Amino acid sequence: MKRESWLIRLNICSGLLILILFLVMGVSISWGSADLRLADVWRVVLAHLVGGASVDSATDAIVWNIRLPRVILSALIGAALAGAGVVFQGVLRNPLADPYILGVSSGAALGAALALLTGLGTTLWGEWSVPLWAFLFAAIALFLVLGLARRGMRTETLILSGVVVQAFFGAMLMLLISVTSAEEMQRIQFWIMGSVSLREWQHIYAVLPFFLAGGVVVWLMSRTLNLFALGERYAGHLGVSVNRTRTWLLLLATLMTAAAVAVSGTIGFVGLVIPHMMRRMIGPDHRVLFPVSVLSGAVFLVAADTLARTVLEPRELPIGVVTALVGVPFFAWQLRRGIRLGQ
Amino acid sequence: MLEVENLKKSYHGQTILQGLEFTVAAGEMMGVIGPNGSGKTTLVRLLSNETEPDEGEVYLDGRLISQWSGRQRALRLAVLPQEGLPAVPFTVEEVIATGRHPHQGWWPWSGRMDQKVVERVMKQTGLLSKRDRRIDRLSGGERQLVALAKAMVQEPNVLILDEPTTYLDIAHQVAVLDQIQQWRNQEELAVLVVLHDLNLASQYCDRLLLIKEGVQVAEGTPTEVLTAERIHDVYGIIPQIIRHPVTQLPQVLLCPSEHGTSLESVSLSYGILR
Repeated sequence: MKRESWLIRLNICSGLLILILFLVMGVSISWGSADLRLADVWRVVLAHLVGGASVDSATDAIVWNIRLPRVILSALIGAALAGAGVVFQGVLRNPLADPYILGVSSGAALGAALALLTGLGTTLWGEWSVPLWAFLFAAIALFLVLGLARRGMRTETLILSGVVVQAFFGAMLMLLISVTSAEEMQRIQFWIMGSVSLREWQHIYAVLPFFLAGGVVVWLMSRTLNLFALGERYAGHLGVSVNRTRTWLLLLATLMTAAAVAVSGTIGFVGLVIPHMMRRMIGPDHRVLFPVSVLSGAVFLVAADTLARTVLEPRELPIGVVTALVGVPFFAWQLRRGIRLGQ
Repeated sequence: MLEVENLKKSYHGQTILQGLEFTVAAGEMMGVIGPNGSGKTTLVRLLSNETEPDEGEVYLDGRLISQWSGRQRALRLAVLPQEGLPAVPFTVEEVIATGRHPHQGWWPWSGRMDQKVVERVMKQTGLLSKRDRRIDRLSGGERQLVALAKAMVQEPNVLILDEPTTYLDIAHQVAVLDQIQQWRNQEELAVLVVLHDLNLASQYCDRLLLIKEGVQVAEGTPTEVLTAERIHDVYGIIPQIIRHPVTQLPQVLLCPSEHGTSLESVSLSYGILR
């Protein structure tokens, strides 16, 4: 019996992408504002991974506690946003659906800001409090958008509903910021633009479970996602309970988005651009498309972050600016091209 | 097997279907005919449990259709809706393999059995050479054949089709219906097919169900159902009805109004042929 072709495609593509990811991450940690020798950087990494002599403690701290968490976190966030984008586009059968455009990110941002400023729920959930609040508000945003766009889920209505919801949550966020102190304000402002600077290992632990849970469950449901891409009636005729499955998938995508926003603010367009490019390259089969998009999202965001902190050295751009510079022209081009899934 | 008892459905106070009652037995092909807006598509939705009837019941393999779980229902019933396959760039083989979904577990890969069935059906339908073609690049006829192949790998007992031959050229109309007939003969499949073309319905179906404005007007063999009076009554046109020279089944010929055929003359000629 011949082996399944999608599995072969998946193995080849993901193997290649993992290689590229490690390469980009390697470049990214070797490169930064502190003037370190390349050999020292890698000696630190090796020392932590396999043991052996490290270099001086200052270098060690810069590499292991500042650069590495930042690079890993960028990869995780890129992966989560691209994965969420695949799910939104597949379930809603809409090539322009993405957590940012749907306003889900802005809901998550409000929730996260609320948790950050008030510290609500920290006693109960500890470091998971921010992602959980982000998820709660992102889910509210999601259901508002879907409620507004109810009729037929046409692309235009969906985008307009996203604009409305985004405007509302954006205003609420501004309101929240304007009543806080000036010092807090600057911190939050930078975070809203999307940033992965000053992140530590604990941030990774705070969001990793959400990414993993979301990613694994979505991949296990990827065959069902294929049925959705062929139409909701089609899925229903094959025994899928359409409403329940759709809600589950959208909530999982929202969870991944919320966790990403909770640590990095709203980084737009990753969930739009990456799934699109991957669909063009490897086809619409979500069993391959989802994992491959997740990996490419990771590569993309690590690269974007490296750019963000090196282009205007020693100043640092918010990473959201870099992704928007790539994403906006792409979005405009897609809008003009007419709108068809999988093209 | 499919049983329908006293089916009634209305939308916004307007009755769409009323008092439908029929059975499609295993190995039988039943055609549903009637003018546009007579409720045929609503009937398909009721029979596939997409909407619930206001009154009456639908039984699938002896059990109320709403009592089967989605997966259990999909193991017994395949549906080919009117709109056909969307233009998504999946390959022929990928689309056909989706028909195995109700047979598979929650993991994404498919089993040995699934691949075997997909392979066999592609051979039967002549799609083996097109397995890697994208469905958005196929013609309407080929795409419909792919949709049928997907229903075949589902291995149901009952097949429901909503106008499977509309928009197809005559070669593909015959190809699709031949394939359905062959499958029916091999697997004792119960088929319910909505058709617009009365002549194809007459050739391929064991029995016909004629609906007008949601009410069952006639039910029986093509010879019993397709009479000039009845077609005039339901469609409002005056047809010529002749016997097919090979199969002896009734065939409906249309005639431009300017020739002014009256119903009497039609009945007369039909009587002579009989």
